[in-house]
Amino acid sequence: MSDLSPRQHQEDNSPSLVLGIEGSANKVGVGIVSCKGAVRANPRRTYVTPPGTGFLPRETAQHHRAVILELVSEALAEASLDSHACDDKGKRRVAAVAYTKGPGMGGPLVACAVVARTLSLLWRVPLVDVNHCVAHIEMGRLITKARDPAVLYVSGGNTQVIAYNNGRYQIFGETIDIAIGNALDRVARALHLPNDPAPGLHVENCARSGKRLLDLPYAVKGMDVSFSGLLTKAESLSTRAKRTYDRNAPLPPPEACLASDASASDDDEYTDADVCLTLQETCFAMLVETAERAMSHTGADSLLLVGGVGCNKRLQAMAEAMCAERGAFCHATDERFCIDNGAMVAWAGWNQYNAWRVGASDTSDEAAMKAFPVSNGFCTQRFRTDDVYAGAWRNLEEEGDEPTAKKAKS
Amino acid sequence: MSRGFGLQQGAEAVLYTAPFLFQCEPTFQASTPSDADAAHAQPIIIKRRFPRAYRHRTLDKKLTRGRLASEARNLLKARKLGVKVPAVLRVDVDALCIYLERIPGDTLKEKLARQTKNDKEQVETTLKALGAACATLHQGNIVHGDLTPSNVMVTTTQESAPSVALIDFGLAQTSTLAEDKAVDLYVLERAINSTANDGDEAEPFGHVLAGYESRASKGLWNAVRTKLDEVRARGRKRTMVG
Repeated sequence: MSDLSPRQHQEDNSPSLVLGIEGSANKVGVGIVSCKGAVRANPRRTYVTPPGTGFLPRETAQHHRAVILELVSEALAEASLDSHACDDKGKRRVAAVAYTKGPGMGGPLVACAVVARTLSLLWRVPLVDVNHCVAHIEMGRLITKARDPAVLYVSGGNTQVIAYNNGRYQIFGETIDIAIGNALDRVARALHLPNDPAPGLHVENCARSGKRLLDLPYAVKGMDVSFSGLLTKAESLSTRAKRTYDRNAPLPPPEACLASDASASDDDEYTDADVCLTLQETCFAMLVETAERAMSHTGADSLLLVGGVGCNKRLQAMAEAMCAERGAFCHATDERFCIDNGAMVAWAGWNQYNAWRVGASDTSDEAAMKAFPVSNGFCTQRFRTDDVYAGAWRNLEEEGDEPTAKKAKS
Repeated sequence: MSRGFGLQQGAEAVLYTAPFLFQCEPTFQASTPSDADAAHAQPIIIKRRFPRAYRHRTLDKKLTRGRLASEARNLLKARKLGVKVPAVLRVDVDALCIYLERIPGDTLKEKLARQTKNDKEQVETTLKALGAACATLHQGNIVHGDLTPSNVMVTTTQESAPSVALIDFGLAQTSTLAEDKAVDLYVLERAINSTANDGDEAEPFGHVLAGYESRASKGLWNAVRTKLDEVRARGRKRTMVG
């Protein structure tokens, strides 16, 4: 996929970079990616709130507005471009600007879209609107070289089991209420775990010292999962949990918390680590179970983990164990690409732009600006993964894909 | 079980088939399997659950045992209600095995895949019978949990209408909530409508609902129908935030 088909190489002189802006939740990032998928720059900032609180749309948007121009300059500098997106020879290198259209929080989305529209007008390049979820999937596929995986997309706002089918990223199962990351964050809040750098990371680390499994509801409904009841229970358990977590203490080995068979009832004494352990084990088992069902339904031979929760090591280990049992391969990425970032938006934007370019009879700058007009640069909080016709670029891959290594994983 | 052989491997369990001796009359002799006994031997299914390595041991034990017990319990209940399901012959909690009657016939999935124009009427009756079976189940407050065409066995005989049996109660639950019953139907709807071939009439699931309505009480039907619309609205079509 990063080796592009011959048709995509034909315009060697044309600019070949895309700048992407992401800011649908509490992270804001600007990424610059080449048409071959090389990440030239990918700076990111996170809006961190004090322990016990979450991020609200208005304050998050303010944060994004305050740092985004700095991030754009940083990204351009890192990619050795000037403020006109030109290289040292004065040639414009950026072919398009991509931004997250949705789904996400309105305020933060708009803060980023304004900058994207401005850059598009300033540089006279097309403005490509990108679906956040699709961007996660495409970035995951780029990094791991997974060709046609089932996808487990788990983040603060989304929880979906996805498989590519008939030109769309079809959702096989999803949460019917809140997202997994939201559940983890809110338990972290109830336990007063730090939000810096991310509450989920502290839940993961805290769980490593867990010893007992408490009782939480296990809610798989058909292919869908539900976390709201489980969250209520976990939050009420949190009020009585003994606080033991010290973020500076050395972490026990990852197997330590799995060694014991002990379980405890609500009346016994238990710690915040036990709550975190129980929460992770229960939620992740639900996710891995639905992912496995989707895999057996579609016959997928690999699973791709994307989204912020996808960098949780315990979830990765569980998904890997499940895949190993069925002779499948599990692809995961690290926090640079799992967590929201600008590069993923840039890469998805490139794919959309390139699909148009390959299909269009007139690919002049004017035609490109008409095909991706600035007037189209609005945001929407609700934007489903399967609304996007991914066949536009996936069909291109299939045409010119024979030489691409299928499942190379370093 | 040593004589059994693997039939199918699912995510939760392995299925074996094996001969099982049904003794029709009490025998007072020391029983060594004889040719006469072998004549009574019928193939049965042994469903053996296995631990899943990815799950925490405590959770795995809880889930596996819970599902084994509820499968056996709900199969018995369903049978009492008059729904055609495999008979439970034996439950071995320590080995996590459940011994079940083997139901002959094809799965509905196979039936739907093979259907031709001429089968239209028969498929329709089958789907109606399936709807009625679901209604009986729900009327007795059992939710199947995994109603897909592969979990429906269809037996056709020359003289009578096709009969429908439900299998795999591995995710079955007892529930009085219309919500759970609607989700049950919703899973079935998605699975059945996705197997419909192009050019068929749009919604084969309509027949299932018709059969359901004919068997369900007014109260159940009204509650489930309303909930089903709700579940449909939030399921696939749920617009999402963040």
